[in-house]
Amino acid sequence: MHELSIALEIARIADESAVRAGAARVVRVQVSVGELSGVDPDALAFAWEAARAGWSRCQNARLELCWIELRVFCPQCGVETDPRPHSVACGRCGSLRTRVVAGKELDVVSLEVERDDAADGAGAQPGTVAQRRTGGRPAE
Amino acid sequence: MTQPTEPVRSRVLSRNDELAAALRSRWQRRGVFCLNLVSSPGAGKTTLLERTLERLSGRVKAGVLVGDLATERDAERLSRFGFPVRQIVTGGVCHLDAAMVTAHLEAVDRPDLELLFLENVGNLVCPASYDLGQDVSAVLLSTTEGDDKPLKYPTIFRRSGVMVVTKMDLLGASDFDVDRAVGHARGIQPGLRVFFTSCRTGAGIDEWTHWILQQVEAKRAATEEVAAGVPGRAGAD
Ligand SMILES: [Zn+2]
Repeated sequence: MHELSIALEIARIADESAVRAGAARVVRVQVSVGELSGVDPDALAFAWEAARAGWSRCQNARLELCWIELRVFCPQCGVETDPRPHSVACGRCGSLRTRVVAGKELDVVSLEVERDDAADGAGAQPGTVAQRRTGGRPAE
Repeated sequence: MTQPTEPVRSRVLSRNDELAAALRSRWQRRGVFCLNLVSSPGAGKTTLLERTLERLSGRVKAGVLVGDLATERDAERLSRFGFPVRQIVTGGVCHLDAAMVTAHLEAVDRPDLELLFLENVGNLVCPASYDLGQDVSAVLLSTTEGDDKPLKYPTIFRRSGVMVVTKMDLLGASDFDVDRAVGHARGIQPGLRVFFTSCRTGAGIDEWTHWILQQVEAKRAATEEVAAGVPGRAGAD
């Protein structure tokens, strides 16, 4: 059940991004989950309830999961297809010499935040959520 | 005031991936080959590692980090072969992550280290998500499991470069079909290299050990080339 560790990371990223944006609360976190990410969306949604409680800005944040199906590119056919079931075989010709182009994602893609409208404006800092550079892809 | 949706674009496991990248470049720089062993509980990781270390004794400078949910028993079994072994007790966490590996590395990382084994926690799901800076993951599948495991757990097979079919001596005791298992696994990871082993009869262990020594040699050679300024492949992807 590593979905709890994953959910805790999502909450941490959301909370830290909210701090950087000068926001008081996170309303919604959008996460893309690829078919080959190794993460079960139902388990992740369940774990989120526990994970968000530990971060003050995420207490009421909704987790929105976007499921990304496996897609492969076949150099022989020159097209992108849904692979044959349980494989990375080209949906058109069946060749296994394909490249996975989608389905490995496990990314926080966007965040909806709320700022406090303090009368003196002290709590409201303009600015956008910082763009984080993504690190190197893990080796397969 | 609700803001419009803001792009963040962060890999959820970016913190783990950064630590894993640091480990990978550390091994790259020193020419250490790092092998991550994954499997279901009971597939025989520790037994395979015992037979492997026995054969590698005196031939290579190896270290072993072994992850387990609660006990230290595996480390005791593995420390009889003259290599430094450290148990990582995860306290219920179902996988090793790059931070755990980094934290326990000191116990096994000698300056002349050539080969590092990571024995992951017995689990085909969770370890698939965590990069540990390894060169290769080897997934074990025993003939006492279902031959459809690669269909049920595609991610771990996709992220492995090697599959070791274990307990070949028990073949025929169940409906396990080797060709079907390999076919399923190569369907999701066409480049998979497969070894067929039995720790009871010793079948396939020499071949597997030989492959490991080849990888160690290749990694060292690649690092020496880079150090000498020879252009070329710097190591594994
Ligand atoms: Zn094709």
